[in-house]
Parts: sequence; structure tokens; C-alpha cells
Amino acid sequence: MKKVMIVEDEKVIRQGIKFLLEEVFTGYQVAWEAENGERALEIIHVDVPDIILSDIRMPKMDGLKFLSYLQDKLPEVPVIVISGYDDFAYVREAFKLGVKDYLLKPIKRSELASVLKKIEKEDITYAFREDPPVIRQIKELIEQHLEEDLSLKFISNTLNLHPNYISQTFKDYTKVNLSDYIVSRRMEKANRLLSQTNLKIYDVAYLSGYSNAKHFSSVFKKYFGKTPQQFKNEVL
Amino acid sequence: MKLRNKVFIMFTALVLVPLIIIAIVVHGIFSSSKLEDVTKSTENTIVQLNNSLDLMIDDAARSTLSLLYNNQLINTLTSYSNDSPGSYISNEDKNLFSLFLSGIMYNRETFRGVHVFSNQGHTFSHLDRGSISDTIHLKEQPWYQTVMGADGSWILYPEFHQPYYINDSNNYVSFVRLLKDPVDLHGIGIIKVDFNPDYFEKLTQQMPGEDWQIFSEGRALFNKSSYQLLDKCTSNRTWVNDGNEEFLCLTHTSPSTGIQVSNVIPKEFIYHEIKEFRQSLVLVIILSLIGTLLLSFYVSKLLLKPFDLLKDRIRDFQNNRMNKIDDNFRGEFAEISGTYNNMLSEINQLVKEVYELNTKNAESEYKSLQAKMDPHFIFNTLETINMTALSNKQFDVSDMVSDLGSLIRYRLNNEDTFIPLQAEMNFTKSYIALMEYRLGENLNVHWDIAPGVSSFLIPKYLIQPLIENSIKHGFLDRPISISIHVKTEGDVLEISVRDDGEGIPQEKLSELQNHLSNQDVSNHALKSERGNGLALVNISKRLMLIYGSEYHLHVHSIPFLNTTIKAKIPVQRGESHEESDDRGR
Repeated sequence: MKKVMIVEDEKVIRQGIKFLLEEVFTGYQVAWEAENGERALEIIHVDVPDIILSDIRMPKMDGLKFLSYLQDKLPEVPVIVISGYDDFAYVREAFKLGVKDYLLKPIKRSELASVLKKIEKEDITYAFREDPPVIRQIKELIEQHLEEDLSLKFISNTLNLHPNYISQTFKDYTKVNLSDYIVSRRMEKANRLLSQTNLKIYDVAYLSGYSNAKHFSSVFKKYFGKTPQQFKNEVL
Repeated sequence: MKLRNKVFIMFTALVLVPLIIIAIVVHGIFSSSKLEDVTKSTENTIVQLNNSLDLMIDDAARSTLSLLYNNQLINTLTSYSNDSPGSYISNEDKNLFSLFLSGIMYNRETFRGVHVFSNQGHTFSHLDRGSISDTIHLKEQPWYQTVMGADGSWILYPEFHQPYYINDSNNYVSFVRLLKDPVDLHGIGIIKVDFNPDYFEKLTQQMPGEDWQIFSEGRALFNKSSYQLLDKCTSNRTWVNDGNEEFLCLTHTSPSTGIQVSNVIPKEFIYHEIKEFRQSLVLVIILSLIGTLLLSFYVSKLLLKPFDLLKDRIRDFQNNRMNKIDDNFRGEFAEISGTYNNMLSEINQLVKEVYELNTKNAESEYKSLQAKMDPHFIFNTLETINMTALSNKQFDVSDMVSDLGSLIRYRLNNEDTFIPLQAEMNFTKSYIALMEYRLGENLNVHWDIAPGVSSFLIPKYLIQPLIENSIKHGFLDRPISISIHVKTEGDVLEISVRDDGEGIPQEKLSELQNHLSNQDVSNHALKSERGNGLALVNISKRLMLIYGSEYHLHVHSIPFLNTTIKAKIPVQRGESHEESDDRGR
């Protein structure tokens, strides 16, 4: 679950983006909302968001200064600008100050989705940055396709490597079976979904890569020692 | 006719015409003088010959008459008149004549022989018995009648073999006369002179060629295989014809002897030299002609180079390429080129002013539009609508709103005249998306874009208005399909929009095509107007203004079947981007 900060003065827009991130895209939580730049800065002094979405033409705010500050204080935090202002020189400045993307209002949700996906990919790459290239490839592939079929055949075809080579190398480096690793990742995702969303069990199962809810439940129980339902109840 | 050709022809004519006239005149003079030369020299020869003949005849006349001053001779000759032919001649008489005749013969190279015949044919000569016979049959001689008819006057008789010579079969021309007793005028005998052929030979040597003849009393004196022409040659300096060739007839008749000397000269001979002269003349003229043609050609080209240059520049101007005349000319052409260049600058300036004025107008229109509309307000409001829709899971509404936002942004952004094809396509796609919402299944759009063209620069608002036009005018109550094709052909980018809608009737189609290719620059270009085809005309005019008169829109239509609008513009490569940028979206 990624924690997102939205900086936008209109409530309706904030709510819309929140809905988009939490209910439509899922995997994101709008943890902080700021109506102006001052408020945003206050939040930053205390917390560190995973992603910042910000309008930069709001009253009492110098957008470029704000971006510059963010670049300085929180260089690793990706910033997405959402604005009605389309002056070319201004947009160029924003990119120079390190924004990941500059979306124009009214935004197309597909555009927002692709920026977020790009960020996610970069995170995955970052997470596995210390692994050797092959291992990283395998892990990234797994992360991206948790919902889907992750057979050894699929991995082998996608990465163009021999199945035996894949399983052997993975085991040698991580000391963990490939299939066990995959299960663990799926379970982690299930865990997140159950604790942070209201999704139904079968939805969680599906999003974790299990088309059969019963099968999912038994694997879950084996892994966590509780059924998904129990787990969910405990969280609430 | 081109000016250069006129100059060329004039130049050539100016040189050739006098040349030809002179040549003709010279030729005329030469040939007539040549003719005169030949004629004159031959005439002189003839006259000279005749003069010599005159002397010869005169001499013979006197010599033959001299006998009549000698009575003894007369009496002796008369005494034989009544003897029978062939009777004995006494030595005494023989010697008498022999002496006399030898005296005549002495040192006379003109005579071969001179003989006297009695009425009965007794022969008296300076030659002895071994060379000449004693007697002849007078009456059987061919000349006898003529001599008797002359009655004492001399006659010249043509050459023939004289029967009385022994061992001499040559032909001789003879001078014969009847001797008449001075007292009683009876014929007492005949005296005959045979002329020496060598002497004639000498005389006639100078005659040119062999076509001459000497006539006495109409009789040709010499046996020559001459042409009948010589008979025809009666008056001097006339032309006679033998059926094949023409000959110049020269003839002279001695006023004293009546002897006619004639000569005919073949025309070809006379004109031989003239012909040669004429041939060389013609050669000279031909060479001059060639030389003159070349010279005229190059000179006219050189002289008219400035005009050609001016012509080229004006033609360039017609094709919208404003080039100055930049050679350094002197004289009048310096003035012309200077004026032309100034005119060009002024036109350029005017065009710029008009264009800038139009642009400013358009800009201020847009700015006032912007000021009234306040884009910030619009976009933020749209975003509010967008987000409200999203919050209510109205994803269709959200899409429509964001498409509309892109469209408005694109239209408000007037800074660029040229944008990458990709940007125009995106804008067009937003427009199509909105129209699809409104028309539903009634609208089908298909894109067919060649690879590698997305970054090419094209004028803004080129494709979307064409789609708009197709929908506006092609759409009936049934579904309409529109296909958009973009491809390159060499250096030309071809964009065509085809719909299967209502089509355009023939008269309207030709009218439209005329308007599309009409370059008349009026101020329509940047205003938006309603009306059939006006949008297309505006686009076409813009294209012609930017690229030139050949780059207007093409339209083709079959009524009720389809309509195709095609734009061809020169390829302009832009920077290629890996990802399209966000500007304008």
C-alpha cells in the first residue's frame, strides 16, 4: 500500500482523485490532504509520503518554489503535478525540478494510471537493486504478474531463459524455492488487501492470483495460520 | 515569337541578305564579262581569219588576172580553143605558160598550184608531165557549171580531190575563174588556183576547237564532220540548238569576198568557268550562313541574357518564390533589375504586413476570447465535473470531459503554426471520441498511418477540420464511415480523408475544385465561417499561402457514394520523440 499526499485546493477534485486511487486503481491510500502549499509543507516536516500529487497554481503558493523545496528535502519522493496551467516554459521548469509527470486538467485517468505504474516499476527495480540482474528480472516479473498465471513455463518464455536455469539460480541465490517465493509474495499482497481495503474475499483471492477462492483460503490458512475471514475480522 | 528569336532572325537576315544580293550581282557581272571575253576573242579570231582570207583571195584574184595583160598568152590559149581535146601541145607553148605560171608560184606559200585550161581541156601548168596530166574533161568537172555561171568572176570551190594531179590524192580548195578575152569578151579558158592546205591549216589554227567552217556562196569549203549547226549559224551572236545542247554562233562575212567564217561554241564550254565560279560562290555563302547562324545565336543569347533572367525571376515570383535579380548589370538593364528588386522588396513587405495584420487580428481575437473565457476557470471547472463523475463511477462522463478539455486546450493554444503530425492526430482523436459519444454507432473512423511519419511537421488544424467537414456534410440518417490515410510519396506527405456519405453533385464539385485552387488572397484565411465548402477553401488557401499554388486541396466525389479530400504537402521532418510530450493535451 502506497501512501499518497494530495495538494489541491478544491475538495471535489481531492475527493475524486482519492476515489480514483483507492477504489479504482487500488493499492494506494490517500493519507494526507492539503488545501494549500503551507499545509503541505507542514505535513512534510512530520511525515514522508510515498507519492505526492499536487496542483501548483493555487493561491498563496509559488509552485516552482514548492517543487524546488520538494526536490531538495525529499528527493526520492516522486511528484506528479496536476494543473490547468499549460505554459510551455513553466512546464519545462517543472520537469527540470524533477517532477515525474505534469498532467493537464481535466486529467485522463488512463494517464494518471500509467504514471503510477511507471513509479511502481521504478520502486520494484529499486527494491531489488542489490540483486544480480537475473534475480531482479525474475522478482520484478513476479511482482508485476502476481494476479496471473506464474508458471515456470511463463517465466521461462518471458525471460527467454531455460526453466532449469531459472529455478536453480533462484534457489542458489535466495536459498528459497521459486514456487515458495511466489506463494509468499501472493500472500503478502493478500495480507495488504485484506487489511487495507474492504474488498470481498473472492476479490482478494482473484487479485492475489487465485481464481479459486477455496484454494486461496487453504493456502492462506497454511501460510498465516488463520483463514482469510478470520484475518479480516481481526483487522477491523 | 520570342524576342531572342526575332533578334536572331534579324541579325542573320541583316548579314545574309546583302551578302546574297552582292553574290548574285557579282555572279551576273562575272558571267556576262566572261561570256563577252570568250565571244570577243573568238570574234576577233574569226575576223582575223577572214581578213587573212581576204588578202589571200585578193592575191589570187590579181594573180589570175595578170595573165590577161599578156597578149601572147591570150593568143596562145585562144589557139587551142578549137583544137580537139587531147591534141598535142607544142613545147614552145608549154614552156611559155610554164614560165609565166612559175613566176606566179614563186614564193607563194599560199598556192599549191596554178593551172590554165583551154576551152578544150588542154592543161598548161608550172608542173611537169610527171605531176600533172595533159588534159582534163572540163565539162565533167564539178566546178565547171559554177565557173561558167560566174562568167569571169572568181569562185571558191570546196576542197576535193583534183583529178589531174598524178600521185597526189589530197583535197584542195580551189579558186577558179573563166578567162575572158579583154577585147571580145569570149571565154578563152579557165585558170585555177589550188590553195595550199598547210596555209589554211596555219590560218585556222587559232580558231578555238574544231567547230568552225568557211563558207563561200553558201558552200562549206572544208570537209569536216561538223554539225548541221554550222549551217544554222547565220547571224552573229545568236544561240543555236542541235536538240541536245545549245551553242553560241559566231560568224563573220567579209564585205569584200563574201566569205563567211563561222564558229559555234558549246554553251557548256563558255559557262564552264562560270559554273566553277558559281559553285565556289555558293560554298562561300553556305559557310557564311553557318557562321552567321552560330554567331547570331550566341550574340542574341548573350544580349538577351538579362531578359531571360528577368523572365525567370518573374516566373519564380508566380510560384511564390521571391528571388531577387542579383547579377550586376550595366546600362538600362541595371535600371530594370534595380526597379524589379525594389518592387519585390515592397511586395514582400506588403505581404508580411498583411499577414502580420491578419495574424495580429487572429491573435487578438483569440486573446479576447481567452480573456472572456479565462482558461483557468474552464479547466478547473471541467476537472471538477471530471472528478464528480469519477466519484460516481460515471466513467463515460469522465472520458468525455477530459476529451473536451483536450480539444479546448488545443484550440486555445495558438502559438504554433506547425506541429508534429502526432499532436494533430491526438487532437483529432479527442474530437472523434466526443463525436462518437454523440453519434454512437453511426460514426466509424478508421486510421491508416504509415510508419515513421508521426514526427513530421504539418500545419495546425489540418486533419480535424477535414473530419468535421466529412461529418457535417456527409452524414445522412445512416451510419457514416470515415477513413484517414497518411503516407509519404518521395518528398510529399499525403493526407487523405474519405467518407462514404452523401457526396457532392457534379456542378458543385467543379465549382468547389475551382475555389480550392484559386489563389486569390482575401482575408478569409483566419476567420471561421459557416457555409458549404468554406472550411475546405480556407484550409486550401492556407496551404497555398504556406507552400505554393500547387499545394491546394484536392477533392473528388461520387454522389451518394463517397467523397475524398486529399492534401499533399512537402515533408518537413521534426524532432522525433520516443514518447509524445504532454503539451497540447
